[in-house]
Amino acid sequence: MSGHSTEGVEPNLTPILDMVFQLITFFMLVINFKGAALDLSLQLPVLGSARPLEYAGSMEPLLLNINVQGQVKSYGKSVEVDTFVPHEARLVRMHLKALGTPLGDADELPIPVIIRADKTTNFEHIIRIIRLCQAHGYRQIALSAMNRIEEKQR
Amino acid sequence: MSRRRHKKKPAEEVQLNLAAMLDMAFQLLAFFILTFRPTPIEGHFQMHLPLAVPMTNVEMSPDSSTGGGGGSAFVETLDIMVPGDDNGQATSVTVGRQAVVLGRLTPSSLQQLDRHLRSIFGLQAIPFDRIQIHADKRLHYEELLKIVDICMKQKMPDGKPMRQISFVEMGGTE
Repeated sequence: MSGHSTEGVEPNLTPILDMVFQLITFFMLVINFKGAALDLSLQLPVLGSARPLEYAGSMEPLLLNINVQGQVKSYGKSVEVDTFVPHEARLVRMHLKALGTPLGDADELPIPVIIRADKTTNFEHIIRIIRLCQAHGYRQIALSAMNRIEEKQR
Repeated sequence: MSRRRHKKKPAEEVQLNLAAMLDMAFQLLAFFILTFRPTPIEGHFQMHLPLAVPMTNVEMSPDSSTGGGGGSAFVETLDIMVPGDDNGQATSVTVGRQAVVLGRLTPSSLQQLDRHLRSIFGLQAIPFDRIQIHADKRLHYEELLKIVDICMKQKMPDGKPMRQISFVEMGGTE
């Protein structure tokens, strides 16, 4: 009888490493950090005619999530909208001034406001926020809704 | 000079230790899996909101909104009233002074509203350039969007889609 080899058995890790790298590549490609700005607990109304946002500016749109009680969330945190919107508007004006394109106080801000509200949110909450945005120079307002396709997938 | 004899070493196979790399790769994978949240497919009703105006320029006669052509030529804002009930549902829709929808918003009543608005916007003599929606403060966002959806389907005389929509709280002051 021949003697057994005492060398340790090493599994070939190359295929598993290949697979793991492919999975990492997949997740890196599909990851969307903008999703963090959305409050996924809100139930948006379903309207098939809603279209993707037409905005090609370099600055991010102002996204406001409004729940049934009228509370506003941004990036998962409740914000005091009466101070949040003016602050954001001021930042945009400062940014544009730094870029050499200052705006006057009465000028329209070139950034849309995206309003994501629960489908049962009362109009009084929405109009309050719209008025606030208008008062600080925002004129482009986008009201969010789900597409029917997404509803079917759920 | 003495010749050195080089002893030939046996060809050893160089093996990389892949375990460390695999550990790191698994950690990255775990991070991506845990933070992965597929974003919902959302659409938007994008509009340009002018500041609301008082209802002083509404000069429409009741029959002008039915396509009779009796409206004044200087009317620019089309007012739509949407009262609601305690459940947040719309109870009727009035365009100008004419009640177009009586009762809840159903697909057929929305089609009726759409037809009515098309007939108004088809009149070249009434150059509406904006719509003002007067909604009940209890009206739900879903009901509001149904009206907005119909409004945004309208085309102005120059063929451009209606984007100038403003909102007013019914009974409120602007």
